[in-house]
Amino acid sequence: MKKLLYIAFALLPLIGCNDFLDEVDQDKIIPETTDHFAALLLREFNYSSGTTDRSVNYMTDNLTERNGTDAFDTNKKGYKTYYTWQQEIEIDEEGQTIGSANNAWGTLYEDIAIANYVIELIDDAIGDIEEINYIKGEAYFIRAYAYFNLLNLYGVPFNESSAASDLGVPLRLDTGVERTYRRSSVSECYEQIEADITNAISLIDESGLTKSKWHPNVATCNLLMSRVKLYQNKWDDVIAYADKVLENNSLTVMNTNIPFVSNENNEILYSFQTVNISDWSSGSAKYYAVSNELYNSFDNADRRKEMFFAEITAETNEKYIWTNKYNTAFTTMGWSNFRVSEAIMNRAEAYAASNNATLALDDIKTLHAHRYTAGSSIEYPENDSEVLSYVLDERRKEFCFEEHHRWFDLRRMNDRPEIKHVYSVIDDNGTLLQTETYTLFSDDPNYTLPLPLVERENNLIIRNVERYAKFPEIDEEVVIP
Amino acid sequence: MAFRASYGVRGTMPNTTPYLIISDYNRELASIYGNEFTAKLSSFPNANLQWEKTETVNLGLNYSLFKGRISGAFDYAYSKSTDLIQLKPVSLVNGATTQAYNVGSKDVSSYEFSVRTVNVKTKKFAWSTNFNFSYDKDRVLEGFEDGASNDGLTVSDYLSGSIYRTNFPTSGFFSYQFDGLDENGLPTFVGLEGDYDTPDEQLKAMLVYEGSRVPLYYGSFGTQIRYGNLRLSANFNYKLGYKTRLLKLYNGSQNVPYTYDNMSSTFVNRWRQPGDEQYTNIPGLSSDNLGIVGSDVEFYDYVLPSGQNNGWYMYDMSDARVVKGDHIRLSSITLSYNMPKKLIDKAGIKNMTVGLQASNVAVWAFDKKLKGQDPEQVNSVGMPSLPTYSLSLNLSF
Repeated sequence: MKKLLYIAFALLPLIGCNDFLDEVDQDKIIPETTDHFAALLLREFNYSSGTTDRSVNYMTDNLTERNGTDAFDTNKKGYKTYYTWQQEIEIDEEGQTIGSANNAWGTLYEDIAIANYVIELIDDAIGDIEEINYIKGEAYFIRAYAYFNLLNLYGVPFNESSAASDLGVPLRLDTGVERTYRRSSVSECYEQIEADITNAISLIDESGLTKSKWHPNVATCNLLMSRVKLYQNKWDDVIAYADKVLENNSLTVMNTNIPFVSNENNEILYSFQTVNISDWSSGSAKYYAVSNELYNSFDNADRRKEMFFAEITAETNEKYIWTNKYNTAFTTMGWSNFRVSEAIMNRAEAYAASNNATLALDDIKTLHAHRYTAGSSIEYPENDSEVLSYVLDERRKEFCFEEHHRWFDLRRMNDRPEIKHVYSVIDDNGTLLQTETYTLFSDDPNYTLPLPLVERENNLIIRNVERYAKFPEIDEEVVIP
Repeated sequence: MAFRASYGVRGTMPNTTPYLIISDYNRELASIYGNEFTAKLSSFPNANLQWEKTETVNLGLNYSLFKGRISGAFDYAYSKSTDLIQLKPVSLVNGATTQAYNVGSKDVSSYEFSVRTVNVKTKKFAWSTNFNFSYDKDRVLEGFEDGASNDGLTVSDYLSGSIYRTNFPTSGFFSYQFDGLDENGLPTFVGLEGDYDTPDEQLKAMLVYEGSRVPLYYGSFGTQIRYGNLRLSANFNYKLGYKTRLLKLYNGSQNVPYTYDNMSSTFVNRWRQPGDEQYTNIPGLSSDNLGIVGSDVEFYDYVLPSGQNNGWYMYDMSDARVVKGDHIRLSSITLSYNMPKKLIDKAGIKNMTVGLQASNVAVWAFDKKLKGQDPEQVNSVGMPSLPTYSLSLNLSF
């Protein structure tokens, strides 16, 4: 008996079974079914807010600083590095790291990693082949969209003659983990993006399924492809893919009484980024405002003027930069949307760029018919050479403060405007200390974002695109005797 | 005399999985997505991890002298752990900033000695004593190379003593260096201001190595006396060679106590008027929050834990609040009496013992700054552990 007892004690540590002692979260599962993978993509991509870096808006000509009540330096300076195109956007003037800055790189590569795993694992998932095809197609779409954004934030602006050697972004297309990566060229990146969209189109098409607007359909993929072609100046392709979108889809007349983005609106092809909808008109965002130049470019007969913008105070007539587009007044779905109007705008620009001014204006007129109040008289350029810039202005109005549209459009312009941003240093007592004026030049290298500091720390072989140090012209207000 | 030797290999499974893991698979976002399910990413798979391995060599010597009057053992053990799992920084292109690899290694040498002596042994009277002693020493052979970084070691790791750095013991900890009170009775610290080239350099300037936070030397001794049916025994244990922090005076920030608040008696010796800083290290009462401004400190994010960037926190975490933890504890005294058989046989009782035991009787600490506090109880609210007394009666039929 005693002996048996000893043996039992000796065995005790061995039967302290691991599964029992481990803190296993009952909520965690290994994805097995197609539904698991679909759910993962929905939450991690569609829902998440990281896909669009809203800080990018601060670099555009769509906003300016506010100068009034409590537009103090302490309130404004969180976005100053973006607003003034600093060489390092993660480090403020005092040398402090701004934790939330330059996150797009990390979140987009996380989306890509998830898409890579879905692409790799979905074939073995339990479920119908139609579902497998659709989800795989969706993952390809997400990967293409993420690379498209990465490339245009962190890659050198597209230039047909040098794209084959210009720095793009690293392409990670499988699930292997490397400690370091090198950048691929801009043209290699575009080839990959196009290949992914082509895969997405054929897989989603093959599935034959129709899903909710939270999932990309074939038209969504065609629209993304027309955008990708537009960014490479491939005008004929832009028109071809835009035509595919417009074949089965059309615009909707904007009604100022109901939210424009809704499941019932056929102009909405795909809607995403649904987190944090509603209250964007508060918080730190109120220390900057929509630029007057943009706001005043909207005609009073243009319904978008009322639909897009919300007033901060009647006193100054300034408008919130987190426009209604982030608000339930405009959307009952997400705050990023693939809309049919982009197909019209992409095609109009391609027509205008390939000397087809009449067709370009026809497209713009179609858009206006759905945006202006009935019977409005709108002046169109008479000279064909003015049509392209007219189309670009119209594009700016239609897509202001959506995704990274304005910043990306600026980057790909042949002659970019010189942008000036004024920053007033106001202390907490409301005293104006000095006014600083920063300039983003037409051919400025700061059109390309610096890589996140942690990426440069962890990945020693990656090359950062050189940027200028930005110094302001200063108007001293306070003269110290 | 007996000589023992053994060798063993043990493996520990990594707690990462080779599978992609998702969580929260449900319809919590039904207000947005209707009846569609959503799920969060829980972790990316890591299929390349191997088991952590520990090899152990044990050498032991049992001895017995003078017919068992002196007996005991020497033991020496050396164990080396390899393929320890460590997070290493990787390119964000992987979708994460770190990845677990089998890269770390450490070794532990431990010595153990025990002796038991039977001093007197007669039919009526016996007296024996026992003593044992252990010494453990561990060392990281391969750890994080970086002294300070956002992914590897943070200043909180240094302060709490959870550093895993080459050639350091795994239990070593650091403190901020207290630099005396200023003329307002507020604490100052070494190395906060000044120019440094790297975060590591500033950390080195600011922190001081305290030593181990766990005892390096420990063991117990005791004595047993038997006189007839009466037994008396006492057991002591001791822990030496480590340091501990005193109770926090400020919970991360300075709050002037309310009238109904208890206050630490430490404040009796506080700074009260200019000049007191010559004699005391206890700051005066102040409503100043001693917030440390980022622009004053070169590597602010590296040398101060986020959310704890004030002088009061630093004071609690400074060498002014660290003491030696060395102590000896009288863990129990037992007196028992075995009833003579002839008295109880008639009642049908085989065995009857009456005992009186006191545990956790006393503790002797060596560092005066403890002011009699038990060094093992200086955490949270610092309630002392009270002695317990028990009376027992054991019957067997």
